[in-house]
Amino acid sequence: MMLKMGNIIPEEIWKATKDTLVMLGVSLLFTIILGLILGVILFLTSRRQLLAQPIVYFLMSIVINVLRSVPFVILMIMIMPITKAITGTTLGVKGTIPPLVIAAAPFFARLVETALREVDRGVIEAAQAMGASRWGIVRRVLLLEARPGLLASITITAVTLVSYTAMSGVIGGGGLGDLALRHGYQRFQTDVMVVTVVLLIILVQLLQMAGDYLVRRFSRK
Amino acid sequence: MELTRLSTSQLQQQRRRIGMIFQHFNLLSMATVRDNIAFPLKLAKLSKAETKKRVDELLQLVGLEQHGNKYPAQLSGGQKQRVGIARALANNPDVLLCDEATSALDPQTTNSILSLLVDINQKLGITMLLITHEMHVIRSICDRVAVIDGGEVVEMGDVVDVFLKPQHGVTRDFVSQVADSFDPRELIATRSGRLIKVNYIGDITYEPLLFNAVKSTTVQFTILQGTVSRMKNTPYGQLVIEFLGEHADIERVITDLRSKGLEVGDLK
Repeated sequence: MMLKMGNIIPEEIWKATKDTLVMLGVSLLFTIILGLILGVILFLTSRRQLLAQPIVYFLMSIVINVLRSVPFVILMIMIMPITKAITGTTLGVKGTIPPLVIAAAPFFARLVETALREVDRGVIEAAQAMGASRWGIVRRVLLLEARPGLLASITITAVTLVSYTAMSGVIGGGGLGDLALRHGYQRFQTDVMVVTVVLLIILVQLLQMAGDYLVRRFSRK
Repeated sequence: MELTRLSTSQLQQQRRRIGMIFQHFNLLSMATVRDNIAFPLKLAKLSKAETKKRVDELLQLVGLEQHGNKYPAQLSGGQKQRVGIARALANNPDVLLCDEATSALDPQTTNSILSLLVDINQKLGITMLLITHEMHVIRSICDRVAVIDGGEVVEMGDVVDVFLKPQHGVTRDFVSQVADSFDPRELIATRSGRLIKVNYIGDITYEPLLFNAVKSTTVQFTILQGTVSRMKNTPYGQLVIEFLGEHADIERVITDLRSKGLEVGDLK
């Protein structure tokens, strides 16, 4: 069976692609900032690390686990009031970014924590012996030494965010997922479905290749 | 100063006065040799120009001028330890702590690192504290040694004294790893003459003391076992000697040797 391409409207596809890229870019930026802070705090407060605050670690850990166990579609609906308070709307590109960040930041924080654990303890010990402050160790040692791991974590998070943006179409978010759902699923326009899926595949491929390149570029081992 | 009682920031200040090198080097793998050496300088908030100048000096001091822009993964173990030494010396510390600094290195590299340390010790006049289980490291570069057993200092003194006359059991165990420890019982059983053990340290090692002591007497001597060597720059000897001759003459010879500063002990 030949696939008819009669339902494709290039302008709509282009707009949806742009929306997806904007949602991805903005939410990735906020996810990195928030997740990096949370991840560093998680790492520092964990046992036998620089701050070693088991209670803080435990409480943060629970919050992060809770956020991570809620499926994204449900989380989006649950936090609608918060989304509205932040952006003024729960729809479109703007209304999608807060749930994306709230879902992805805890995930990224865990990846950051894991990446920081890979840093050689001896190097931290050496920095302490040289009289570096805790903040100095975070900035000049941990974030530097974990750079390849952090870049790989950002790549994984970006790919996860792509699939989350697509899901957000369910509650009226924008982008390629929204297009696939409204045209491809609800109006049985298979051609639109195929095109959006192909675009998403290309996007994920490009992200992964860019991430892999950066990891290679910054590896020194 | 009691370092364990200082506050975090006071301790950070004091630690900048102490250089430290490690068994596994502990370099930043993501930073170049130059940036590794510059690390403590950045902590001390030196300007860019001063940092560059100081790093150049340090690279030259440890003989790594060619390798400034390499990453640690591109260096050999000995070169990595040289980076560690340069980094430790960056802020002109009062003391250099070497925590098993040569334990992960092969014997040749160990020697080159040790001679670098001696060189730096003489050039900069910096106090060095080595923590090691390698006896030859102590013998070749240390002046004084303390033996620690179960967290307590059990013996302390000049290297020559401690190695030649170990007092504590742990020290004897350590020293016997390097010294030709001998068991005199077999000699005692088989030889008929007067067996004595002679220890001497210093310049007298190279004087013909034994010959001078016996030449005007009837006494003859045979060296049965012994070591004549140097520890860092101090020559020393440990001999087991058999004297043959008249009893009174042998006593005179022994008295003579003692008066010259030799330590003489009877084995039989």
